[in-house]
Amino acid sequence: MICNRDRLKRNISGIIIQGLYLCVGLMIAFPIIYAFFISFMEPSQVLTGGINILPKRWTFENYRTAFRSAPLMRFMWNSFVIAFVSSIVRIIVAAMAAFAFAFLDFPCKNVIFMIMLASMMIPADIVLVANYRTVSQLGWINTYLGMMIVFFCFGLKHFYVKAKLYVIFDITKGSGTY
Amino acid sequence: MQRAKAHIKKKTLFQKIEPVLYLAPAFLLLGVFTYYPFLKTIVESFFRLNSMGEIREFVGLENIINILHNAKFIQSIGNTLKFVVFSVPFSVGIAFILAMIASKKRTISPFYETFFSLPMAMSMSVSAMIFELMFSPTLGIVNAISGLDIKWLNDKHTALWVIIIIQVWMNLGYNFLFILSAIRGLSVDLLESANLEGANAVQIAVKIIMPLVSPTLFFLVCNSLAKMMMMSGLSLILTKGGPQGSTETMISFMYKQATENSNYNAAYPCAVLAFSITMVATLITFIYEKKGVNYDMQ
Repeated sequence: MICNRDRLKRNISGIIIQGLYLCVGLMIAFPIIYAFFISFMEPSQVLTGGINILPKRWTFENYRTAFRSAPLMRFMWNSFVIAFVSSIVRIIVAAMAAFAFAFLDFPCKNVIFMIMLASMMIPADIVLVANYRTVSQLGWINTYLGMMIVFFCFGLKHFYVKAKLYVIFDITKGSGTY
Repeated sequence: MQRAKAHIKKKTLFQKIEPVLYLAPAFLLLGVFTYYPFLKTIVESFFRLNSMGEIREFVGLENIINILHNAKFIQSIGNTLKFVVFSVPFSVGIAFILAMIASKKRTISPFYETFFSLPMAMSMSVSAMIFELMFSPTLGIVNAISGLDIKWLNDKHTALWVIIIIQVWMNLGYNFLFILSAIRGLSVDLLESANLEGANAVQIAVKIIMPLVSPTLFFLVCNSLAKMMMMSGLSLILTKGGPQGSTETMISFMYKQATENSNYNAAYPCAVLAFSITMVATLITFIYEKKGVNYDMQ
C-alpha cells in the first residue's frame, strides 16, 4: 500500500516536472512558433499591436502576396544551387586532400598538414574585404561562381582531421594495409 | 624500416606526383581565398591605398594609428567586447541549465529536447526578422506583455542588449546539444553515488557534472568567443550600427568602411586589429584552460 502510494506520488511529480519542462521548451521555441502564427494572420491584426499570438482568422493571403511580390521560387533556387554545388565541390576537394594525407607518403607531409590546419585560425570575416576584391577583379561579381567559390575552401579542415584519425584508428586496429 | 625505404626509392613518376594532384585543388582554393587575402590584408594595412584599392605609398603604422584615433572604431571595440562578455557566458550557461533539466530521459523528453534545440535550425537573418517584430516599439509583443514603453532597437541604451539576447537565443540549441551529449555520456554510478551521499541537485550540477563536462564547455566557450568577436550580421541587418554607433562591432565597422566608403586605409587595419584582439582573447581562454579544465575523469 505504502509502496503504491509512493509510486503514485512519484508519477504525479514526474508529470508536473515534465509539464514544467515542456513549458520551458515552449518558451525557448516561442519566437519560432510566434513567427509561424504571424504568417497566417491578417495584416490588420498584426498592425493592431498588443498581445496577439493566435490568428483570429487563418489566411494564406500573406503567402500569396509573398510569392506575387518577389520571385521567391527563383531565390530558393539560387540558395539551393549555391548550397548544393559548393557542398559537392567542397566534399570532393577535401576528400582528395584527405586521401593524400591518409594513405600516401610524400616529403614534408606533416608541415603541409599543419599549414592546411592553420587555415582554421583565420576567420572568414577578416578576409571578407580582400576576397570581395579578388572576386570583383576576376569579374565574377553577381554570378553563381563568384558567390560559391569563396565557400569552396571553408570547412575543409574537418575532412583532414577525420582522415588523420582514420589512419590512427587503422593502425591501432592492426589492419596495417598502408 | 629498411623495407619502407626501399619501397620509397622504387616510386614511379606517377606515384611521385600523385599526392600533388590530390592536394593541388585544396591548396589552390585555400591559397587564393584564405592565405592570400589574409597576408594581403596584413601587408596592405601598412600602405596608403586609393579608393580602387591600389597601393600608393608605404606609410608604416600610420593607418593603424589613425584608426586607433577614430572614436567610432574605439566605440566599436567597446561594443564588441561588451557583446562577447555577456553573450558567451549566458549562451553556454543557459544551455548548461537546459541540458541539466533534460539530462534524465523521461516519457516526453524528446519533445522538450526538440524545443530546446530548435533555435539552431534558424538562420541568422530569419531570427533577426522575428525578433525585430517582437521588439518593435508599437507592434511588438515584448512591450505588449511587459507593459513597458521602450524603443528597444532605436534606443542607444537597449539596442546592444537586444542583439545580445538574439545571439544568446541563436546559440542555445547548438550549445545545448553538445552539453547534453556530454552529460548523457557520464557514468550513471557516479551520479547515483552522489545522490546517495545526499548531494542536492545544485551541488551535483556545480561540483560533479560541471568539472566532468568542462572540456565540452571549454570547446563551446572558445568556439563562440571566436565567432562572436567576429559578429557583424545582426547589427548590419537590424540597426546598421545604429543608434549613435551603439551596436557597431569591429567587423561591421570594417565592412562599412570597405563597401560604403571604399576606404581601404581604414578597413585593412581594422581587420588586422580585430584579428589580433580575437587572438588575444583566445589565448587568454587557453591560459585559463590549463587551470580550469579537467580531462582526467573523462
